[in-house]
Amino acid sequence: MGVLVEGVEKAFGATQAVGGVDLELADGEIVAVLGPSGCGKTTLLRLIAGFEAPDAGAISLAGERVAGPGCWMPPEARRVGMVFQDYALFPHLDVRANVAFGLAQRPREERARLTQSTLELVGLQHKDHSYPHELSGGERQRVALARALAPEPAIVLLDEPFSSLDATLRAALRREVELILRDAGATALLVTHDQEEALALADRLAVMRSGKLMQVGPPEEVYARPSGRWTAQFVGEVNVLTGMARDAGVDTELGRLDLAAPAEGRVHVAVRPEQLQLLAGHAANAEVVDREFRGHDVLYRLRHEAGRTLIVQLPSLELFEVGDRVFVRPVSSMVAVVVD
Amino acid sequence: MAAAALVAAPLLVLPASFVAAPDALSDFSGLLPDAAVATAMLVLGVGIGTLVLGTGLAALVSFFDFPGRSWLEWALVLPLAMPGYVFTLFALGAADALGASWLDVRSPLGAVAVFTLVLYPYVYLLARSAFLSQGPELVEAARGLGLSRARAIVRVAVPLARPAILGGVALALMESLADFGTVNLLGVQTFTNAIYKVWFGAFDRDAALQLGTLLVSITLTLLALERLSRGRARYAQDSANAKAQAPLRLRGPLAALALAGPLALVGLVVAAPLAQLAVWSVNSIADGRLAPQFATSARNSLMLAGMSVVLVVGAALVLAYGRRASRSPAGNGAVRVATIGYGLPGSVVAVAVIVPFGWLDHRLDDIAGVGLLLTGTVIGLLAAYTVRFLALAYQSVDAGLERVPRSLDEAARGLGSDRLDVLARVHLPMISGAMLTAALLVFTEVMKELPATLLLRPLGGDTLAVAVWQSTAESLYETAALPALLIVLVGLAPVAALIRLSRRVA
Repeated sequence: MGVLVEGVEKAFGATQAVGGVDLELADGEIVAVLGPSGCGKTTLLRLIAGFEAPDAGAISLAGERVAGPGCWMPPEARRVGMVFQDYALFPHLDVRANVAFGLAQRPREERARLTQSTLELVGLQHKDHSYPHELSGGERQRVALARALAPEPAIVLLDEPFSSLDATLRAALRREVELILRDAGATALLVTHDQEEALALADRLAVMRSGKLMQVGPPEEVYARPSGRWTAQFVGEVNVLTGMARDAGVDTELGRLDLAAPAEGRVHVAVRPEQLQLLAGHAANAEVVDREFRGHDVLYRLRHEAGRTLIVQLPSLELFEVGDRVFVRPVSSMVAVVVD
Repeated sequence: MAAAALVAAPLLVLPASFVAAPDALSDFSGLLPDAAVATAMLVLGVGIGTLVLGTGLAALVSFFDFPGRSWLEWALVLPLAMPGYVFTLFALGAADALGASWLDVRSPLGAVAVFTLVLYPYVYLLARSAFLSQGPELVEAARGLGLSRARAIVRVAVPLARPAILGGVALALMESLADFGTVNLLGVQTFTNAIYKVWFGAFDRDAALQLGTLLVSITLTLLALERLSRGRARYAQDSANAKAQAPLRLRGPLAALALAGPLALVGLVVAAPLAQLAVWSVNSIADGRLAPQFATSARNSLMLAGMSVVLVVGAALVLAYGRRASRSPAGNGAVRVATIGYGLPGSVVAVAVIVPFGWLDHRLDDIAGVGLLLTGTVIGLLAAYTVRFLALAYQSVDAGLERVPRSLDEAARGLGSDRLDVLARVHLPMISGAMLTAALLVFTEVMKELPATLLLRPLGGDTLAVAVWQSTAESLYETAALPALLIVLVGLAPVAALIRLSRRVA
């Protein structure tokens, strides 16, 4: 067992930052905690690292209780590797000394060997005598990661690790960081407000809101089967339709849709923008009111004849113009999800 | 926290003296009106003097440009290295040599002049950085609204810098209130002088303590004023953009005047005394008229300064790091209490330290029969220095620590370092510059310090400062010159460091 968080609560004054969170990480698993700013995700991270003490609940790392009733282990004893938002590299030490910082207690040869192998893991062996201010943003991040990984921690905690990089670098580095973590076989918990980042990087996603976990699961499951309306809207774009459910289907203004799970009565269902398609030259039922060209795809905003505004995402192969009359319908494989 | 309590404890003695001996002061009632009048004159004169001189010079170098400006900008800070009593030594000696009877240095007006000349840099420095941080937009806006450049400066730039200017004036006033050497040598009967008289002339501790309390209440008022104005000044600085004004280029005679005037001032306050002291020093060495025990007092000064540096900077580090690590409101309170001593005149700190120490001494003597261990030795003096200069070191160390992001602490802790290890491996290497500045400041302040040293020095424990004061009081100006010269030269070190530091920032 990598990490076990049981019923952890933390309040700052009157604000409940973390309100009863349960979370488990298996060894070698990468989990992303995704939530808007102020949802308590960073506090959760700091509780695991030991920079905050929980008001209630317990935390175990690698099978050992580190925080809980009558139990407290200070951060330096926990074997956590933390990658900070600003990287927090020691400016007075060069790359090698930064990476070796957490190995001070080890015998000399082991220290040299671990430092060298970690530097090679992140591909910075040629920069080992540079100082942090001489490195690019991406290199700094890799040093921060190497420094966290070198002491072979029970878990690596990453606090918004990509937020201080510019957008073009971000996607490439995301992949690089994932590969480094996988190579090292590290258990990692990543905190982010960027859904794309969380979806791409994590084995499992934990969506957090106001101090509580709304849904925990593999990214594709959280995306395709959101547990509620808020989660559906936070993880990607979504149309929420109203309809009457009967057995395994629901009747909406877009016709009868298949349901993921049987339901009865008046329900809201979530339909992703890519689950809809547009046809020209058919009996039109909607009008294009806005078009957002995004390169590889296009996001259309339609006014449906029943009055609802719909968003539809299509490949940019065939373009519709604002004002075009179109026929909108679900793709054939479409399965709708009841969101409340 | 404990450190803070130790430092603050003596200060509780001050108000307690009114309870212990309510009528002590009545024996010296004749002193009070004189002291009040002299102190009021001093405060008023020095206040106006430093305000006008400091602000004027700051405006000159901030809003105008002329050949030699960038050089002058820093030369104007040099008088900070000149202790009041050393300049007094020069002024007295020069007046005697000139035989100028019209130049009555030994008067309240003379004291005001001396203080204004050596203390204006406080106002100058703060006003200058306020002017520079204002950014050009507001003055430009005022000019767009039809004001001339000069009127825009007077009506917009100066009022905007008011908190900084008042803060500087408050600092200068605190320094002049705390001063003993200058007023004593010039025979001006201020509070510090009165304390000295009551203490050594009449050995009346309660009366001295009560005089001290009165002086402290004036100082605390000024301190509160300074805190208030500085708090706002910082706010203004954060929001302003850091682009400086485009200064107006002066040409011809105006430019020459702009350079020559201030230069003459620096020449009068720094260069002329240094030259005069050097000549006198050479004479005194040639004539064998060195101060008796000159070598001993030099050694005493260096040792005291060295020990104080270790003690005070160490205490400042404990306090600053303790507050950083705990981040509790109690910690903040402790710091505030422990650093209040800097507002207090040295003579007051001395009398405040001696009471609890004296009590403790007698208890210790009763128990162990060791004699007067604390008050009779340098321990009492070091304690007074700690109370007096802890704030100075603390500010420097704390500012250094504040520049270290907290995430570095956490990164190190996550990597297996405990708090002490973090201090040793992360903070100390990163704040070594700030520690050095603190050490330098404490070292020179202790070298300069006169009133507390005078009151608390053990027998045979004269320092250079005491030697200067004694010889000057006896009109042995040439004898006083060499120790004075050494003090000034040592004092130039932190001023140079300060200049280098601000240059890097600017």
